[in-house]
Amino acid sequence: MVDAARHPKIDVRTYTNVERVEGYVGNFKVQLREKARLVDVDRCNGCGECAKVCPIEVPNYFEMNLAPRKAAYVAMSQSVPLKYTIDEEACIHCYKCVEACGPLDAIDFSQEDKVVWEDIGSIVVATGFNHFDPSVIPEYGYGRFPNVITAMEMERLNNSAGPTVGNLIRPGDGKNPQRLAIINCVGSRDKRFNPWCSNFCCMYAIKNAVLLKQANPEMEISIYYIDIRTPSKGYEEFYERARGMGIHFIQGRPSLITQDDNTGNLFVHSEDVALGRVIEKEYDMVMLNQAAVPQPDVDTVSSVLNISQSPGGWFMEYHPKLRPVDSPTDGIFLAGACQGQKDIPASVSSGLACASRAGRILHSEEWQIEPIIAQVWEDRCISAQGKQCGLCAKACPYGAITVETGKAAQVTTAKCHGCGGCVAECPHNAITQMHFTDAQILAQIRALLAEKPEEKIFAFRCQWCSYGGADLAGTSHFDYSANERGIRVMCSARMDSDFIYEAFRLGAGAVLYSGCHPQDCHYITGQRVGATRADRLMKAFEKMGMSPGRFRVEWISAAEGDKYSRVINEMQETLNAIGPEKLHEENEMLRPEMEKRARRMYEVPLVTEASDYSDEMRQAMSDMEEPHGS
Amino acid sequence: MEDSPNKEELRIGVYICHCGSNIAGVIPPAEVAEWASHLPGVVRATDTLYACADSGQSLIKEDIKKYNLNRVVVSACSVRMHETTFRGAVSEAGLNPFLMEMANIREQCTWAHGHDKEGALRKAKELTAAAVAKAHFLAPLEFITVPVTKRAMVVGGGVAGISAALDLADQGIDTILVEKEPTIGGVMAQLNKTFPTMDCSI
Amino acid sequence: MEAEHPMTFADQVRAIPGGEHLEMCFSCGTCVSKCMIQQKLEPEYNPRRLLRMVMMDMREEAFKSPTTWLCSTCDLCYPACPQEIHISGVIGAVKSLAVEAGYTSPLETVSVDETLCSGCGICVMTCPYEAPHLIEKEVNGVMDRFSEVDKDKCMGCGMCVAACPMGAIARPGVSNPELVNQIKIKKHKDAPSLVVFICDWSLRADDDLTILESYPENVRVIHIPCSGRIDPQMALIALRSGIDGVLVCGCAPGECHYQRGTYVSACKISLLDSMLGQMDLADGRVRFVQLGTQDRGRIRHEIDGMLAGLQREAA
Repeated sequence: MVDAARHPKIDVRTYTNVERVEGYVGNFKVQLREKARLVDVDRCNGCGECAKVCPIEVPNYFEMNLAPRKAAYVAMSQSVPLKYTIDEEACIHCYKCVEACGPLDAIDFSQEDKVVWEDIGSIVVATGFNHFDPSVIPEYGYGRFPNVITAMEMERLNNSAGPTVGNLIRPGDGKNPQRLAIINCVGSRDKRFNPWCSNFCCMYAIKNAVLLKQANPEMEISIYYIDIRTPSKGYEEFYERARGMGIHFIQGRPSLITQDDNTGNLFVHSEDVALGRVIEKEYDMVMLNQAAVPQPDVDTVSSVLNISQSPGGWFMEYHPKLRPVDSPTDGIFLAGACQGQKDIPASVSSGLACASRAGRILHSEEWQIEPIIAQVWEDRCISAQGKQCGLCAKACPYGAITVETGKAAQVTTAKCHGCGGCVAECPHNAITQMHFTDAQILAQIRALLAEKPEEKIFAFRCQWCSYGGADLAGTSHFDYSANERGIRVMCSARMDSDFIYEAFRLGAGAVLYSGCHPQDCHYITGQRVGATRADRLMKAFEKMGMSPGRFRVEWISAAEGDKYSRVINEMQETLNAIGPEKLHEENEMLRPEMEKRARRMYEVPLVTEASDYSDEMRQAMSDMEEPHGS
Repeated sequence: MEDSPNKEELRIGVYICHCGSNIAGVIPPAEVAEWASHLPGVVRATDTLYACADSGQSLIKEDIKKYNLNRVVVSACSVRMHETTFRGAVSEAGLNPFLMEMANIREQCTWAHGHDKEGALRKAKELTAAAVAKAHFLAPLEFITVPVTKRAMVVGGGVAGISAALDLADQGIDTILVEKEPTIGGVMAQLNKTFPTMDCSI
Repeated sequence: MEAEHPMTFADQVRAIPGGEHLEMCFSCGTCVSKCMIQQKLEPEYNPRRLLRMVMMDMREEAFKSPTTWLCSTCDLCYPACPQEIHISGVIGAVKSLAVEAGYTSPLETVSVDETLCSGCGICVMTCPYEAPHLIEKEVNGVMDRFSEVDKDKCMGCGMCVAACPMGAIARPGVSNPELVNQIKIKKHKDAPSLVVFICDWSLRADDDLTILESYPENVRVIHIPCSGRIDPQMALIALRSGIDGVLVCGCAPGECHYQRGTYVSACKISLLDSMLGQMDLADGRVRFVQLGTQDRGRIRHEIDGMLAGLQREAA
């Protein structure tokens, strides 16, 4: 901690929030709000005279609210920086602190929040995790039974820097407990709350047990567990040591804690799985080893930094094995437990990995980004012909397009992130997206629907979420119908209505339109553009008399492999229920309308060529089919 | 711009990866390759044990020269896995990296359709065909080069954030460490000793 | 498709509604300790082990296991299971397979005296397990309706015994005459007398049983399988015999071992209490309390409170 504050290359900004992030790799602009501390940090010497005279006491979050702090405070004595803060919500403005500070004159009630912008090349997100609140599990009585405490409360109670100076006492009556139960998996591995294993709690329980046993060998300590997980270096040895010290390990997840109101003692009811018997044991104190959960403000942070979330609210990495500390956004990295529950060694490792990944960018003079950006065909843009339009600019989440009547729309290359929303929104087919041109996509659609189209479930998937979801379905071996045929575009915003019409015109059995959940969109608002279009299409198809379920819109994240598989299987069932005859009939009925609607696409350069090529390919495919006769 | 139709003769090479048994355990890659060799524009189609391995990449690089390929299709795993790998391989052989297209016949085919080998084979062929079709219309592109601001920001001053900030700073990079609380330290600062070595946490 | 495998025991159980998700069990034992059957009734009772038996294809053992037959579907374990397995559903599935295979329930169940049964069907409505049903049969040349009890469904709670207006249903141990016999107290001059009907399931802790045993003879504790077994008549018999007060203890709402016994009895006893009050006969002499699983030691407060009230009343 102190090293960080002293390092000449590190500028520590405490009491500061990140409010906005703009730009792209190598060129981020970050808006910070430095909250008013009401203390001039340059003048404050950390003497603490202000706190001494402050008459207001409020619970100290740092001590898990087990001890008070003043309204003028440092959360802990080793605070970095050692600068006092005045908690404006608690302060009654008696100004005794101003008096106490005297000639140092560090207290400044006129201070206001300061908003600053910083130019940044790369960002490391290390926003951490939170602790599960066990009071929602009524059977453990936390909040009702004073001697049931959380693991973090134990940390403070058994800490020489804590409120009891390391003298472990029961909150109920101040007695020193002689019998302690530690209950693991409180809110972890529990589908009612958090399905995940919180990773560090087994070791954490053992650590606390060992510390307490060392200090007081007479103490009786039992750890209740479902499984003990000690997979890292030195961990199993540590567990062995704890067993050797006489700490009891009881396999069995307690179902109930009851309290003797007279003594304040607690009775833990569990099965001893090894015995196959229900046991009820009496303790002086119970420690609940809470689950690690995402921070409560995870939604705000993920929308400010534009990072998607895994189920449960952890930040999502680009690839769990190959790029575990990269966020899906180039230049933003994920360190520590914000990406998933981690212990200290793992958090430090990922922090160092982020430094290396970010350093890779920051040591370069320049950085290359994929040229999959939008380009305008100036002669096709109606703005150039003096007409009012600007739909492309409206669709752009980055303000990368400027439209001025009389001039063709202009794309600012550096600002374009390549979602393709403008391309799909342009009613005059005047914009294209490099590497995802209409001709390229059409060629793919046609190849995939060349044979037996009515059997196919055609899936449009965005690169960041649904394509990842389909990958995960495979990685997890969630089998789904092999009639699925998918293509990838960068964002659901790129899924042009024309593509959907074309797929149905070609006779596709069903079409899936899928992208990120709104809050996960890699292109801020790209998904919204896509979703609005999908709604419109849904209504149009309904009106045309298409059977329900043939066009389906689903938002599937990269973590929802099971959902991808389920959706495809459900679509297959829909097709089975409709049956080939009715499908064929319906397609014949719909074809003229689809043809009419898809026709405009052929104005786009190379689309006609793509269509001709597809015919050639289809011929080749059917020639191959014949000799095999399958 | 790629407004002008592709006039040059297209010479597409198609590589079907076995990925050990990950793909080959469900479908016969050689059959897919044979099938793909009949697609218009394809001048070379073959299967390879591991396309991403050195041997697989060398094969592609050698073929680009030998067959004068101007488009490459790799039917293997997810683009999230190896797009960068194969882009690198083709550009080493002098081809624009954006003239390489992948078909995902592992995550999105053999791994998801192990129960339906026939269906998986049909799908693998068609996914390869679609990649060939897209390859037909690919245009060479140049990466966009942007300048780099040589400053880092670490959001969150817990143990992970402090580690990252210190390491960045030691690399000589100006680093802003942002923390919403009045002190850095995060959860770690609240802990007593830490396992398994029982060091002090601060 | 590959050749069809014969269905394993687990497959069969899974195929029955309620029997799904059994493979999700990671043997944490929460269900075992949440349930009071092992502690109160049968040391071999263990739902976690029954699930293992199903998974390990131990068909016969599972059918013979007391777990299969003793689960009363109170579902205390279900909301506590971290894997969200509907354990009573799985046990029910095993039980239905056991019945199919010819096994029968070893439980003490109720029997109907056909000479008394009027065929009214109140028992059918009362039973949480659909054990009684009405049959028609010819007696002395006349078609008549009778209640018949399915022994494999009956859990022996005795709610029907309490509900039957004809006194036609009996359960060994807690039939009407047996209970009435127990309502006998040696009265003390100075201390009020109290009968406590205590549901065996409503007291979780062994300490609570010790508390019950600690009272002198003026407090008579009668153990019953479920508070639903107690009907107003039983309370009135007690009062008529000169006893000052009647306390009926059942489980907390939602924790009844027989799904709704505590609810049925709470309604009846509270109604009786208010009727007696309206008739100025005996205010506060009949009470119903519901004890929750976490109410360790509360029984003492309840009994002492009732005794103090009766004492005041007498003074």
